[in-house]
Amino acid sequence: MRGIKELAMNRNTYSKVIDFMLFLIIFLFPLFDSNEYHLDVAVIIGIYCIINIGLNLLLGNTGQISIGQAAFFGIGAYCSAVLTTNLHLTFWLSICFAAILTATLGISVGLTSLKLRGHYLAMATLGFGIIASTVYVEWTELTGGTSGFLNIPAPSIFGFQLDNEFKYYYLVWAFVLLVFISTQHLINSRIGRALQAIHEREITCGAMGINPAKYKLKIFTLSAAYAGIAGALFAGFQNYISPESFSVYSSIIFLCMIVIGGLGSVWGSIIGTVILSIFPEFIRAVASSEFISPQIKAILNEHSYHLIAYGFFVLIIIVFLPEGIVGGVKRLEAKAYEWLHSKQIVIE
Amino acid sequence: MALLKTRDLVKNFGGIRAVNLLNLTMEEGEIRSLIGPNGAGKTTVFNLISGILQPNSGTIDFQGVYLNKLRPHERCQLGIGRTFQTPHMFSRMNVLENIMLGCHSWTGTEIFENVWRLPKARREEDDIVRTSEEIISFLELSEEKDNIANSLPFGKQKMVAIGRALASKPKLLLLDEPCAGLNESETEWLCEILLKIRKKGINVFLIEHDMGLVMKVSDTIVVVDYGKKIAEGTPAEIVENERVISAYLGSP
Repeated sequence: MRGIKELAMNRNTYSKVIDFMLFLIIFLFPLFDSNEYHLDVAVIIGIYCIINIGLNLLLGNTGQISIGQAAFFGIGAYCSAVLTTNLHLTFWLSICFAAILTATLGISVGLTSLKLRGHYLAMATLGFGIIASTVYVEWTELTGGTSGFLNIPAPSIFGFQLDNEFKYYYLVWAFVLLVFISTQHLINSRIGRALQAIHEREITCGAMGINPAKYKLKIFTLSAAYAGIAGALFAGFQNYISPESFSVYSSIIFLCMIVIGGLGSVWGSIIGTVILSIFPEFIRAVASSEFISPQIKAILNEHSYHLIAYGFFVLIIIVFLPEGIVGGVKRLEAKAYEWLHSKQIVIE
Repeated sequence: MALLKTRDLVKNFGGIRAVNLLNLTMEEGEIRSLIGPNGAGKTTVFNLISGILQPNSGTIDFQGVYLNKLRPHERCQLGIGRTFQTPHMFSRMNVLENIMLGCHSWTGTEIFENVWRLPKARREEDDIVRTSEEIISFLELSEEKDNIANSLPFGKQKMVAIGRALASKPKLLLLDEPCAGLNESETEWLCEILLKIRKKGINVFLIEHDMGLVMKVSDTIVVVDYGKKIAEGTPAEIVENERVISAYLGSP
């Protein structure tokens, strides 16, 4: 019995070591790969990670779906763009305002829609996403409409110019680290347990002194604020933004990312985001490599077959790893752990 | 002041009157049983007291607080803990976490404190763990502590459910058929636990079909049939009561 407890303790520290190592890899990455295009993709991945950690907290932990996450992302982006370009506020302040604005909107959308469950909640948030993407296109004086919002100034923080991908990479991933740690803390607290309980049995929660409506609203607001912060970072990085980035299609991709990574796991959000962001790039690279004959290349480019491959990949993962990649790894780990343990008993 | 008082409580389900003008008064320091034939409306009474259902008319008072307007979690925070007929375990949590969940009603740190693990949140988490560990040793669940609650045998799951309700530090504990599905030795053990719980100053109100247990632990018994109270008294009085006998066995 004592042996098991000690091992369990070790397992806890060991998962912390893994967290540390993975973040070390993330923070050392730009020192080894200074390819601008790669860094560009990595910055966008970081921004998506912030959204997806919030979305996973909402869907994976609390069990409430949102197909309007890209709308909050967009609102954060336009808010920051307008504040820094038209009103010449500092980037730092614009991030704060974007978070406050999206949180406020999150409260109002949550108050009206969180009474709904399952498919109905999905439809309500989808509706919000569609309204938001219409507003981006139609409110041309503010957003620039379909041609996009141009000439967003390069951000600087405390007089430090963030003018290249390298510097921006560290800013974004520092945010990811912050969101990662805070979400990890939250999941392992009394509130995290309450969220888990709400996910499983809402009625039993009342008998436990948990107010499901309150927590659902709070987490919805928090995830909206995360998306808003991500939006502000996106606007600062891109120098121009257009409504396409914030369409309902993006919301669905965000959902795919967390489902594939693993629901209810913070690493799941990050891994899912990384894989689904790199995969299209990978297919594009294969499609343009020299091993493929020019005729096939032409067909591939013309008909955007990479989308089919993408869909197929998503399908395969969902069929074979219903708990996502992190869930699969955990199952493997549990098996290995069991096996090791049985061996040890044999030795004893 | 009475601990719990219901006045003319009525609950209708469509055309069926599940609870019909029920008056209950429960004093401090007793174990009270609610018995009656199947479908008599016992669980409905519990659902009305704990706030899962709203009565059609009538009032419920708990220590002088008017409960009708309060939602289930608020009633739990006032000190009404309950279990359900089935254990209602949270399947992805182990026994310790299930019981820790019960501590939610008397802890108050919010998202902000927990996100940054401020000292207040840490202290509270320590309190939660300590209380839960105490309850685990009280219910002799130490060996199952780290097991997933759903993987335990049914009897143990029911114990965990009682532990979870105890973790909310209730003044009144509503137990809905705690013996259902338990074997004889487990029932006997539950008997002792109930008496110990009363000794801690927690009032117990239980629904039970196991008459052996009911007669052994109850200070008073309330009998309901078709939503109406047909008898109330000490176990000895109830056994003799003719209306109770006819409700259970049918009148000749």
